[in-house]
Amino acid sequence: MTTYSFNRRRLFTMTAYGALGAALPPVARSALAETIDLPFANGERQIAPAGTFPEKAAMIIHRTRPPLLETPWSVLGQHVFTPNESFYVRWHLGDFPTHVDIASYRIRVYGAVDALYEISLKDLAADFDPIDLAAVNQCSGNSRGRVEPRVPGAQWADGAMGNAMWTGVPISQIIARAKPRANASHVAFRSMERLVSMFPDKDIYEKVLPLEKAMDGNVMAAYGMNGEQMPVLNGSPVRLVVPGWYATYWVKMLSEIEVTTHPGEKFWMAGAYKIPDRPNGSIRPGETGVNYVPISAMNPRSFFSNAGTGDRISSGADFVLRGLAFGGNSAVRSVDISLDEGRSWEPASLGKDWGDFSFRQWSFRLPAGRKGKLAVIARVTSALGERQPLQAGWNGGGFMYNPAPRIDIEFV
Amino acid sequence: MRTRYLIFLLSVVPGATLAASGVTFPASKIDLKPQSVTLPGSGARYEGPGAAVLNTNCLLCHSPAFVDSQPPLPADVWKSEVTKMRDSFGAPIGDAAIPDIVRALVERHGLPAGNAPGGEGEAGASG
Repeated sequence: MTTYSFNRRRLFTMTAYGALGAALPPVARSALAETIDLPFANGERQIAPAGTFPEKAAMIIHRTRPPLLETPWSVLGQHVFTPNESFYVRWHLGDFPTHVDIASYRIRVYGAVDALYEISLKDLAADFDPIDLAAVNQCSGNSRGRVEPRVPGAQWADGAMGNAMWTGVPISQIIARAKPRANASHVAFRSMERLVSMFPDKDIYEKVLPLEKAMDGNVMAAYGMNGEQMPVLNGSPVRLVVPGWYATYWVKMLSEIEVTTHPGEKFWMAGAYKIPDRPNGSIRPGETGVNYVPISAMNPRSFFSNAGTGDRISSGADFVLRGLAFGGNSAVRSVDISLDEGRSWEPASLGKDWGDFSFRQWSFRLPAGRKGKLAVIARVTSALGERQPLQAGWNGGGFMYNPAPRIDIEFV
Repeated sequence: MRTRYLIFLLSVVPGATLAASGVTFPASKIDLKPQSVTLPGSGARYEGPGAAVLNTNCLLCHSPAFVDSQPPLPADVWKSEVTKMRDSFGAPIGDAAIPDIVRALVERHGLPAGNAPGGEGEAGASG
């Protein structure tokens, strides 16, 4: 489910598919694939060669302007921490800075506070205690291309997500210094991302968190991504990190923090990114009379890294299935594997624990000697007790897609 | 028969210009430096069915690939998308142009098989 076919009429540059499990031998070719077939109808996409987009390796293009770039699964599945140059890119509005001026950059902190102030990057470095926290950043609509019936929006496969070690200052420290007033209830975070200038200046990218969430000690103004300054296209120099919540809240190029007394009425809270107020955000296609609420916490997901439907695997040796999982808004409690269509489950081995909000690698050994076809389902259960459904839910936005993935492989 | 391949990541990623005089975060040892990048030009225009009306109304804000990568959708879903571009994103689309744009989109993509209910409606999707 998580591997894609490159068009063979193109030329390729290659590395080992089987780096973590040797389903296929390594193959070397001489140039980059120009297109990739994502696993749904009308799924052919161009591949932007490395360097086409600044600070970025080869990426799947969903849109050039404003950029929507997906991480190829062949890269994403092989890392606990997604390399910065391969981390997916998602901009909503066409006008954002392409020059980052370190000396003049400021974040304004104001609103329902007694001590408004501005933070320079030097202040951010000198005046606060930074934290490091591993967290998955996942687009609300990741895997939307798999949603049936199909819905409009970016037709991502599974690569509109990534995991990074984020370094930054907890928002709780920044807001505490501003001395919020007793009636403060929410915090609005604004980006330098806005509509192109020829249009009425009616839209700035703004997301709002409840004050309690903003103050949880994990939500941070991050300036480091995997130990380095982040790429401009990922929101340099400072991006909001909201561990456990969908990436729509992870405001890039953070320029304003306004403590407010309301949940936000602008388009990006009141119009977009709303889900049915139902378990897992799921309704029957076409269902009406549904109450919609802003999307918030992620649900759990798992993925196969080293095998996909159609793979033929030698039965002459043990085969170790490998994959990634995350718990959504809490840690991974377990990843369980079914070889009998979901009737029984066996636990996978879990890799190093990088924290509640990180990717976690899993593995599951299939002993040598097995012959013939085999369906494998991987399902994660979170520390909060959420469990991936076996059948996909549905909503009109194509949000929160998270069925337990299944692959159909054959041992030969 | 298909074979699966990986994309090889080049070890050097060009595109960013780094200059001197940054900010160093002592605790985390992360250096912030000025960045200046150039984004690729969009260039492309719609081609094929309905291209003229889409080039007139849609290219201003976004490149065509995003629209061309959409699945077949019912006309009312396309209409809600086009209306959103005007009402939420300020696209200068007149009432009279909306049916033409919707017709062009349906012509390009076709309609979903069966009678699939569609779209985002109230949800005002994004992402």
